[in-house]
Amino acid sequence: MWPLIKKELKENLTKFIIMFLVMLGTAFFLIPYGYNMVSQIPGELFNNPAVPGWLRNQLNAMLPNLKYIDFFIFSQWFGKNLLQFAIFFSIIMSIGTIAGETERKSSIFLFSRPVKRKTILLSKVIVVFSFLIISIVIPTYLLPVLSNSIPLNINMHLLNIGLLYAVIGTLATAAISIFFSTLINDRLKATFAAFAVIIITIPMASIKGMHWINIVNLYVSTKFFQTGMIYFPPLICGIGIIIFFLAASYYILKKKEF
Amino acid sequence: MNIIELNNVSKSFGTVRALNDLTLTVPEGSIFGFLGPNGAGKTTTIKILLRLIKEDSGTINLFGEKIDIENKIKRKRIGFVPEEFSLYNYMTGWEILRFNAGLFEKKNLIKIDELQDTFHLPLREKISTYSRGMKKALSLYIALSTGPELLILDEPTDGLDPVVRKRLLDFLIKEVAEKNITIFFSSHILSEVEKICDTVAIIKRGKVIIQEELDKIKENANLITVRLSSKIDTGKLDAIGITNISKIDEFTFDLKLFKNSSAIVKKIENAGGEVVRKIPLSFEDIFMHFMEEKNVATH
Ligand SMILES: Nc1ncnc2c1ncn2[C@@H]1O[C@H](COP(=O)(O)OP(=O)(O)O)[C@@H](O)[C@H]1O
Ligand SMILES: [Mg+2]
Repeated sequence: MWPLIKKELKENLTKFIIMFLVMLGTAFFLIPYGYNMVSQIPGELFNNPAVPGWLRNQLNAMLPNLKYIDFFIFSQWFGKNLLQFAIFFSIIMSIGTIAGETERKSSIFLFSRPVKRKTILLSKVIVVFSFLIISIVIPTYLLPVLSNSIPLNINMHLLNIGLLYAVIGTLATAAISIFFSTLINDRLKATFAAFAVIIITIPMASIKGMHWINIVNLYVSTKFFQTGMIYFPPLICGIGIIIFFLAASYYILKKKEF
Repeated sequence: MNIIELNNVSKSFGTVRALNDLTLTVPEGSIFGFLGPNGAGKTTTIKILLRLIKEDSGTINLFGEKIDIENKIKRKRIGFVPEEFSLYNYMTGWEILRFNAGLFEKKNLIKIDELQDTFHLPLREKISTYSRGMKKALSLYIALSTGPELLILDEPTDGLDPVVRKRLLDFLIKEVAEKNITIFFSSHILSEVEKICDTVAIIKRGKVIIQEELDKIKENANLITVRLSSKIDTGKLDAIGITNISKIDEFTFDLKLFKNSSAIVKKIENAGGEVVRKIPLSFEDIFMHFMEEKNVATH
């Protein structure tokens, strides 16, 4: 398995470095600049009569919350920056796993070696998942370090559990992408399919009782933030999605003809 | 022992029947020529042997044992040069050789020095800089570097210039002469099969129509000239199974024989004929005969 992992590390290194730097850069600017700016906005700014009344009210209602660091991290990092980049990068990182081999025709070489298809898939999953986890976890833990310069007290419990949701959401997106990479021999088409599935789940989530189906909802749990108690449905659903789509990928790969 | 045994193997892609009850036996230590026109099913057969695709029906034995779904263990004993090869362009020649050896769980690469004496590949360079012929040669390096017992080559000389082609064929001949390796060589080029193979199977539309030692095939294939003691009576000849004659005069005719030569000659002699001339047919004549629809029913 080690030669396969080494190959995957090498093939995905550039993508990983870009992703890691983007996440790191965003995290680096988030507190010293982003939070600093928000915290310095005087309340009167939004009393300008040129701003429509309803917007003025909303901004005024939000500002005190944003000045509260945990809310700021929750809404800006977990709810916005990390979420957007993680969805995007997890698709980019995963979509080449099998489709990349079929597209390059290297699949004939790879799948005729004396290695089980399970091992090949597994080594690809291990590398993609590790890279994704590293690019989310390290920048997130950079936030409290950076906040020392201000100085602020970040609630580590919120950060740890928030990160757990984000990681599960990211890996679920990756598993869905790996599934399409196995099913469709063309990276571009597979990318569209993965994006389509994720986008379709957003309106589907507005159907009563199907809130959990929204992939985006896996990344951030408002319930957890409000109560501080771990809310399990998104975690269970996310882990379910990961297991289901990886198993489906393996099943398809096993039957696949090259 | 037979290294490869395929029995009534069939495979369809949608409505295309790529293999149609294909039966084939490759004896140990032979250079086995798998000859057939484009689209006959050669690549499909080879992909089935390597488990890249799965047969719809039929049985397959490799190294004397039934093949399993993934066939991981037996694949360790096979070297494979695919028809359409795409290697990882970002790797160097050495890197892919080492990567491959890792997948075969082999510590040492063998044969490389010997191959380098023949092909002189720039193994330190990236594969993206290689020409088509160099990639084919590298493919052969990969296949031989793990010391296979069976070497499967799918049209290995396709698209090679004559110099590299000759080097490759000579290398294979030397390889077999030196040690006990079996070569399964697929090709649509008659001359090279004739040059290096000792056993040949001709495949047409997914079916093997003849499989024999090349010498035997040739021995059986002759153009004979027959003189009869009485005037030629085609009806009478038809009745004893002698057809497709070309008349020279009222007593003499030419006949091309491909199979069961001696039996047919006996029939002619019994009917009062005498073989006055016998010329061996070329391998091309033989191949063309089997390719013609009316001579061999494939369905
Ligand atoms: N993946 C595939 N999908 C559909 N048809 C295929 C596929 N692979 C091969 N075929 C068809 O099967 C037949 C045999 O092909 P192939 O084994 O490649 O022939 P050869 O290697 O002898 O040229 C051809 O008619 C070809 O078009
Ligand atoms: Mg072919």
